[in-house]
Amino acid sequence: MKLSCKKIQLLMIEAHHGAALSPQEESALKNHLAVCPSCRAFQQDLVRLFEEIEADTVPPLDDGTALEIREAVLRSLPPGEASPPLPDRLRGIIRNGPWRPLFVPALTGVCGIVLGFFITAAWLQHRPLRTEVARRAVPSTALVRQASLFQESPPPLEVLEDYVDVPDIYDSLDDTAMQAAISQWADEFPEVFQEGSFNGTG
Amino acid sequence: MGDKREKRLVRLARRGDREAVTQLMIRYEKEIFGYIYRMTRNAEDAKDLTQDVFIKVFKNIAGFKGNSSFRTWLYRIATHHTLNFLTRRPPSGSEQALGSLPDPSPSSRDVLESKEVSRHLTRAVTRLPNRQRSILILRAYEGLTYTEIAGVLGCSVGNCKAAYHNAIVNLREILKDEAIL
Repeated sequence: MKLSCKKIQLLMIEAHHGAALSPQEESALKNHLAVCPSCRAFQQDLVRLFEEIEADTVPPLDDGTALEIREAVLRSLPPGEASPPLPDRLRGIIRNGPWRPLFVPALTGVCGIVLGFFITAAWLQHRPLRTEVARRAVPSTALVRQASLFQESPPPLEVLEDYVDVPDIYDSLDDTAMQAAISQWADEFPEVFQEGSFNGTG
Repeated sequence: MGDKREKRLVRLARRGDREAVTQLMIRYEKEIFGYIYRMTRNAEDAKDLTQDVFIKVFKNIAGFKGNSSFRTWLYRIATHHTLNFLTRRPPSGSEQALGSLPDPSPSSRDVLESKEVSRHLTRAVTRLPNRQRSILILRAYEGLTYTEIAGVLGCSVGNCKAAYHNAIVNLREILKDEAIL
């Protein structure tokens, strides 16, 4: 690779500043310097020149002068602006934040969760209770002993089944629910609840 | 100063935070003073120009869009302001007097020679055209890369390299004329 004197001198300057030369450039530089006295002289002068440049110092900026400069600059500035009000700051953060692309999907997700919570709560509030289900399902011909007799121990289901067609739904009722159902039957069908109708022996 | 910390300070300075302005000045005041001193070779001029540059920077910081680093932007303002100053009015006493020369006794011969060379170098640098002087100082003294210098001067990297080479060649010629090299 043959380079002009100007390019060779540029390479020498860059090499002085620490630039890495490619093998081709190094070879071209070496070959050129072997045959060009002008560039050889330039190389020697360059070394001396940069030594002088590195030795060329600046008078230090003393602390007092530096403080004067800072005070003068601060005096010249207008009073600091108050922080913008929160909605503006928030708007700024939303517009300019690095997480801006995620903001809308995240907000949609949060709104969906909150809405789902309220819908679920409303549904749970209005769901019919088991006793209500039991009440509606009471057969009009149920023959069950007065609920007061069963306050503490309602008859087992298999006993009841000897007297009435107990709907399957009552299989799943626990003792408390069964007691509540029997109480309601007693209120609604007092004629059914006659002492002695059920002797408890099955 | 880390890049992130500097960006944070610049953001705060744009909102008028005086502490951020002070921190940025502490970070760059010596560097900018040194650069302007080398351009003008006069300490009083350098002090006044440094103050002017920082006033200009922080009054117009709202216009700093962050396309380049804050340092590059700062140097850009410092360079243009100093070149305007040099164009309008040559620096008063463009060379600092080195004080009385010591006795040329054998033991201080090296000191004398060093001071002579330094004075010649100073004079030679001030004899360069303003733009070449600026590029020489930014590259050889301040250590800016060609990309940064291109950002400061608003020219291409190739032009910066060519101008720097011309500055070195001219400086060498001036020093050879004065029999320093």
